[in-house]
Amino acid sequence: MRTFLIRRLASMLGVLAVVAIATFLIIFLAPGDPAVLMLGDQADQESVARLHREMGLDRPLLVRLVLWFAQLVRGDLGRSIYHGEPVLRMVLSRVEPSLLVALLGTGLAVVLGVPLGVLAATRRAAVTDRLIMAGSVLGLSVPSFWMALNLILLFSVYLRWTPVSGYVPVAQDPWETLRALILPCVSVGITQAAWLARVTRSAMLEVLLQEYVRTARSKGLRERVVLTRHALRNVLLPVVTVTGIVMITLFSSAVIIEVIFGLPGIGRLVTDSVLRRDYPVIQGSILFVAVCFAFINLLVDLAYVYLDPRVHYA
Amino acid sequence: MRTDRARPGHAVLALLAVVLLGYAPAALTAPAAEQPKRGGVIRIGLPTDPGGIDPHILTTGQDHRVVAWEIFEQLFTTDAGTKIIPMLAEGYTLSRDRRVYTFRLRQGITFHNGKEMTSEDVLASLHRWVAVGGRMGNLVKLVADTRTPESWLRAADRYTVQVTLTKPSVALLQGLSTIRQGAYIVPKEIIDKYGTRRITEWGDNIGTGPFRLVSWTKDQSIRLARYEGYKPRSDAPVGYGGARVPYVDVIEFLVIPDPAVRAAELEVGKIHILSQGPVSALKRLQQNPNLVFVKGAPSWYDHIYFNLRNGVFAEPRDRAMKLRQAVLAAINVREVAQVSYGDPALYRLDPGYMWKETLWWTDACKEFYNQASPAKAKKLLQEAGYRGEKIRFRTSGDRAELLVFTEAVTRQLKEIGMNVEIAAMDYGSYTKAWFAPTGWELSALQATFRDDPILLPFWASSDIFARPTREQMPHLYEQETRLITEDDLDKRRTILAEMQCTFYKEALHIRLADAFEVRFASRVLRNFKNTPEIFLWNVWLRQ
Repeated sequence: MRTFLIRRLASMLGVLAVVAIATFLIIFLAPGDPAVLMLGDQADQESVARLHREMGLDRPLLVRLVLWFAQLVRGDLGRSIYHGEPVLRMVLSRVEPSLLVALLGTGLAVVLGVPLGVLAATRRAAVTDRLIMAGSVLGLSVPSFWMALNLILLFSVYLRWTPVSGYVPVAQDPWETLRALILPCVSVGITQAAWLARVTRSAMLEVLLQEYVRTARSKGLRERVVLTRHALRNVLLPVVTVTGIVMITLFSSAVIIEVIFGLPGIGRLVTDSVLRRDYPVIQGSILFVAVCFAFINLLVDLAYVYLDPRVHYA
Repeated sequence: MRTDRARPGHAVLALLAVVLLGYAPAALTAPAAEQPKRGGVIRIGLPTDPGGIDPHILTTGQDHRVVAWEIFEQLFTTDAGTKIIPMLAEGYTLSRDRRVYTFRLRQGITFHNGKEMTSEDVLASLHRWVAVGGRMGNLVKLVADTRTPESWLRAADRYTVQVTLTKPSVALLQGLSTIRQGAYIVPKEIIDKYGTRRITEWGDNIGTGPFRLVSWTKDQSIRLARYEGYKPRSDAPVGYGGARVPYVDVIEFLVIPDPAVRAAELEVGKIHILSQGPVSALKRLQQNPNLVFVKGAPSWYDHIYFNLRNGVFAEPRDRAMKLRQAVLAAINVREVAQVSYGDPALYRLDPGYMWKETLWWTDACKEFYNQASPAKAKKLLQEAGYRGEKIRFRTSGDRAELLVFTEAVTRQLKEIGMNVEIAAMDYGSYTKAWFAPTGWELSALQATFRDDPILLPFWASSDIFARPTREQMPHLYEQETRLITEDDLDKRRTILAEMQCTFYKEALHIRLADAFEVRFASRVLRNFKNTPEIFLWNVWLRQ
């Protein structure tokens, strides 16, 4: 296990180096100029050149790449061109809302999706199954931004139960944090729950046809025991894989939800920075997301060992 | 030396403009007799975080100005009709040769750090303002020797500043009062710290204004508090000038990127002012008795640049002019505006390059505007011998408002037989392309509200959108120089009318319709004015 961990961590470093170089090159090959974006239609050559010098954009690409790597080694992600703040501080300040949306959204998706998937599988072809599957198709088809705007209209504008937008940090007022996150989490959770329900159902159907399930039933075990002890545990492997993907997707790419609800999350930081051509922030935040991605994948792999004794990592 | 503090001619013109044009910013949200009240919090929804508010450098848009405007002040400002009136200055005198301005500063004015404003702060601020460039600062460089502070600025005493120009010009006074990239006064020590670099630490945004910056959570909120040491002017409020009294305790700017959500926040009462709201919400918000539609001046007009340096619209001269005239003749401005804005409440047809709300407005050569004559356009194309050369029309795909009018205009040009192809880019790439002298024939953009014609972005000396060289069109440079160096208002108005006619007759540019943003204010706000720029001094909350 230890060898496995060391090998995985070493390969992660390699992946991150590739991500770092690729991000750097892709960004600098893309057209656009942060200086002109800031100056607007009153831009003139002189002001643009002055801002370029200030931002270090007048140096050759290779020099900038080497300087950036030298910074990275020292744990410094640079400073935002647009805000003037250290990138690491900006990225870390965005982690809390993104993490909470990811955790609560994924939690909602699991709590709703997995039981519904199991239920649909056990009532295969019956009315319950059809209703659940129709519901999941609907959940997958309705865009989350549309659902978000309608939820705002109903719960925030008409009923005034939840705030329309904005975010309050947990340290300031946990109750307000939760109130601010209810609608965003429901908006993303429903779609992901629909996906999880479908994955769970098909995995469950496959497992229910296995011989060990037939054996369990023929032993006279109650159906609930057959389902929870014998079938569900085997279903968990694909479900955990999908849950990992759901979590990282919600953490890094819930951009539309973050924009609509005014949540200062990672996804919005990346897209705002791309539109502003804020190179250091784009590089820093993508690298940060890549690190998170690698770690969640590692956790999923480790979860396999716990869930399935047949899995070993030499 | 002659005193030139309140030119009577200017005042009469301002009054005339207001009477003739029927424009005067009205208090939208309060009965006249109501007693002002202190206290409370005003919240405003911003589409984006302005990043920084260095008053001498950034100009990107309203999000920057609406915040900076409450914090920083200038020596001069403008009344409702864009007439220049004193703010931090008591007034000024002008030498007989009209080159030396002597400004007397108001005494006892303190910055938000408690330090008194003196000549040395003004000198440092004026020199930095010119040194960092920008359109206004660059114009001053044309009429003053600005290599060092000493070569054009002098502190006669603690409260008197002298500015020496090399030739008479209106650029200085205009720059001292203009809102965008204007000569805002900041403490000398801040300038010593940053030089011409942008102010990046938010705590260093220190001005003399009625509100001071107290916190900035990036991409979330910006909080200003009433500056208790603020000394309002003694004269009555007029336009942006006169007494500015901070009544509310706190102004909070909340970053709410989605326009529909900003509108919802206004409806539930979380924010008091909605700017750049969604057109789709216009009718709903208009029906809400708690809200008022703030239709002050247009926020911008849509316009189209011709590539006047290269390509079919530049050379050979006579043919290029005929082709441009064909484009101008073909465009049906009303149709384009209706497609772009949907509701006549949100647009206005106007031939004037300067807005109707300014002292500068003129409808000279209006017959060339909104011709909507495909027949004339086709004839001009035929005379020019147009052989279907490709016209590349650059625009931005992620700015829906630009893309929509580009498409509408393209349709009209295709109808007269022009081979137009839209090149839509993301806005970042598009701004880079502004400096490209080739690869395009037409470019779409919006000209935001300006208070002086020299600030318009499409004149020949502008660095963007391939303006013609001096050799190609010397007459444009000659007219522009006259507009910059002339300091008599009436003569400048005549020059502007001349320039407007040149632009229309030679079809050097296409002006489309004025656009009003969807801006609403809550009726909880009292004495809120419908001026082009939002300001929150002299505004209080109903309690």
